[in-house]
Amino acid sequence: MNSPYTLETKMEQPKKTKTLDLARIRAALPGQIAAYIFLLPALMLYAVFAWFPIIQSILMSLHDVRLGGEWTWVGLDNFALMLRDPAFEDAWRNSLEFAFWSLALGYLVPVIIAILVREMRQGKGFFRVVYFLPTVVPTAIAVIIWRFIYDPDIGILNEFLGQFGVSRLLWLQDATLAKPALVAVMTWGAFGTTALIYLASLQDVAQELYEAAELDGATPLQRIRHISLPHLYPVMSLMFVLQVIAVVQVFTEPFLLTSGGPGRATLTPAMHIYNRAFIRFDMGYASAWSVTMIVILGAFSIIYRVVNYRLTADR
Amino acid sequence: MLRKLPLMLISLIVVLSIAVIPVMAQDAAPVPDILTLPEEIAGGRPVTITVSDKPTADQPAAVEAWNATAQRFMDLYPNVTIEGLELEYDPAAFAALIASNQLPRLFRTYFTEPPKFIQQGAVADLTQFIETAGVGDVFNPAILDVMSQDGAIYGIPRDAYALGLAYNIPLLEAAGFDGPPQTWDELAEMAVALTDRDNDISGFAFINDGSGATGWHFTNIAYGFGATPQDIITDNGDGTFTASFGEGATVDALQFIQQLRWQDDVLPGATLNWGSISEALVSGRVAMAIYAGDQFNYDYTQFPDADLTILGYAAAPAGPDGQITLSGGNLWMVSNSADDDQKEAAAYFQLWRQFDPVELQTAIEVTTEAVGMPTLPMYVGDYQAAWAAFREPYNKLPVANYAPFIDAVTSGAVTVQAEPSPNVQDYYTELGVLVSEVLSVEGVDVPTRLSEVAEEFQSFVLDR
Repeated sequence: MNSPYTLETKMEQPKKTKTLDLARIRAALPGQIAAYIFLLPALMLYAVFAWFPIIQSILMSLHDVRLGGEWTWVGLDNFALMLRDPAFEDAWRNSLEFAFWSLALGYLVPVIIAILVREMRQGKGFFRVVYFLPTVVPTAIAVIIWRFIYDPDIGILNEFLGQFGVSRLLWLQDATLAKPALVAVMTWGAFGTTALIYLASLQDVAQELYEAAELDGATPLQRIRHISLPHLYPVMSLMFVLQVIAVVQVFTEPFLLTSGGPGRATLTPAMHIYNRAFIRFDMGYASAWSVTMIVILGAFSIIYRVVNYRLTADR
Repeated sequence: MLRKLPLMLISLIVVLSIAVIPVMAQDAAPVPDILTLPEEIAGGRPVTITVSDKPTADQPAAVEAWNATAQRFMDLYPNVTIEGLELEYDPAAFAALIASNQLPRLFRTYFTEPPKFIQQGAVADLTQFIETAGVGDVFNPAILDVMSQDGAIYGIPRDAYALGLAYNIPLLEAAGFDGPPQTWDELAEMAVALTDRDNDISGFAFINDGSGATGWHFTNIAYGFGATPQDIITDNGDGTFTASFGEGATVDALQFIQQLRWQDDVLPGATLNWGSISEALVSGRVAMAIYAGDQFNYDYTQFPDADLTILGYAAAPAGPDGQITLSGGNLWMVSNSADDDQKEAAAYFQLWRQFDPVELQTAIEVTTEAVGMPTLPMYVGDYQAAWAAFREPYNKLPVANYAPFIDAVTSGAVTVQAEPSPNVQDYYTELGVLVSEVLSVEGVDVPTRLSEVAEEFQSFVLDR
């Protein structure tokens, strides 16, 4: 998105050579050894707690795993079984629908809040705290509160809607309503953090730009459209990917509020993996699901980055 | 002084008698001592075992009693050391414990779990210890079957219960009913009369959260409509099995549920799990519910201020084959990663806790659990009669309200039917999902959907 209000000067960028300058790399190496040594502890921790479990998971997906340590090679049988699993289609369709509802209900909310807080003259600090409060509420407490809100017989939401003549709605028991109801809980819990990220990004925008725009007679909406939003675009792009990845992996809210129901209306791949691994002790099969999730989310991230790069190549 | 002596003697005798009478009353129905303990355990070698379900630190009296029990056993066998763990059974946590060989040597779990523990090779064969202790013939064989495979016994039953029908006595009386329903049609009629939406009262409920517990409750209803384990999963006799629940009594039962939900509107709108169905029943939001007998312990411990005398308990309504019920319960198992000495110590510690008459007396006097729950007889013959008589003076629940259930069980009117097999937990999970779908989507074509689920179950589970 191009904006007339920017402090960046356009300079001609030198052409990047494609050949590897080995001599330059060798010359720079002594100075970088110290950096790598400092990175080593973090790399080791990451290797033990992230990369090793991922590799183990991939290996387990190709075996029938007994918890006592006995592994039996089965090749791709677990993946073939996954495709026959009656929950496969439901879980992945639910993920797409959760992503849709999450983006529709929750993607722009933190952007709007961040911009509004940025535009405030008074009480900015108060609203920053207020909007962050849901994030600090423990999830288990939040679920109890929301379960009470959504109760079809004595919940305050139905009581409130009843004042306007709306009959009792089964928020968590109706397959049509359960997903948006859960997304509302997820959005409520997460929008504060995202709004703070956007707000921090907006703090980097030079105040002079807003003043210059105001002097030029720009309205608040024009300032938002030509200054705030263009500067937020890279962060929004990143948050889009992160939000989709997070929503596809959602577990806590459906697990605690609906247990994947009604029927399988809110069953997610993460929930199914948990059930197969820790309730049915079927570690190899659950690992096949995990590997599939890694592949799907990885492919999505790569495709999105490529498309986004091409769309913004002229910036 | 001498003239007062007879009076003093008489007073002393009276006081002593008063002190002795309660002891004599408690000892009036002692449990027979049938336990045979070995002279020494583990050949006298030092052995340490970890035992789960030690009371938490916020219950000092219970902790003291637990420690005293462990100490008495260690006094009997000085080479044995018992370490208590506050850990309670949790399927998700225990998976990690099994994988890391950190399972408590002696742990409690549910009746639903033995098949997967046995299949994983995670639990020890206790047959030799049970038979050497002389208690193998005392256990109810139907209950021992739950934890047995290929003739080997892998657990020691702790308690067993059946599914029945809990009901709110005042609500039934106010609606003009003098007792629980005897048939499923009668249940539907009563539920309609008992439902009062203005006061948030539902006439009938069962666990409807879409989990395996939903499938379990539904299967009990299906049994009530005449389904048998073979009607659900058919053993073809050649090592293969067929998912047959897509037709017959299971269809009738699910259509009955559908009618209760969408036509009669007697079921609660809220999602009910194991805990919340108890809450709904105790608070009067549900008039009748499919209920496990041991859930009264949950009511007793979780709702200490509730008036439990309002609840009655009966066997599930009768179907074409009479009153059929499913069972559940708790058992103790020994980790297979324990060495032989630890297995022996763990097995005998539990058998001693469960059968030693002195230990039974001590335990019942300090227990915080509800004595008097309407459960299934865990033992058979004279021992069962003596055991029940021993516990009767300690009842903490209104057992007279459970007479319809107890009478039906003791008279043989209730048949405890085995669960479908194999892969019953997977079956419960699939049925739980389908029941949840039927309850949340109006107009589901039950015969078609059941057939589809049966085909999926065949392909995904039975043919695997």
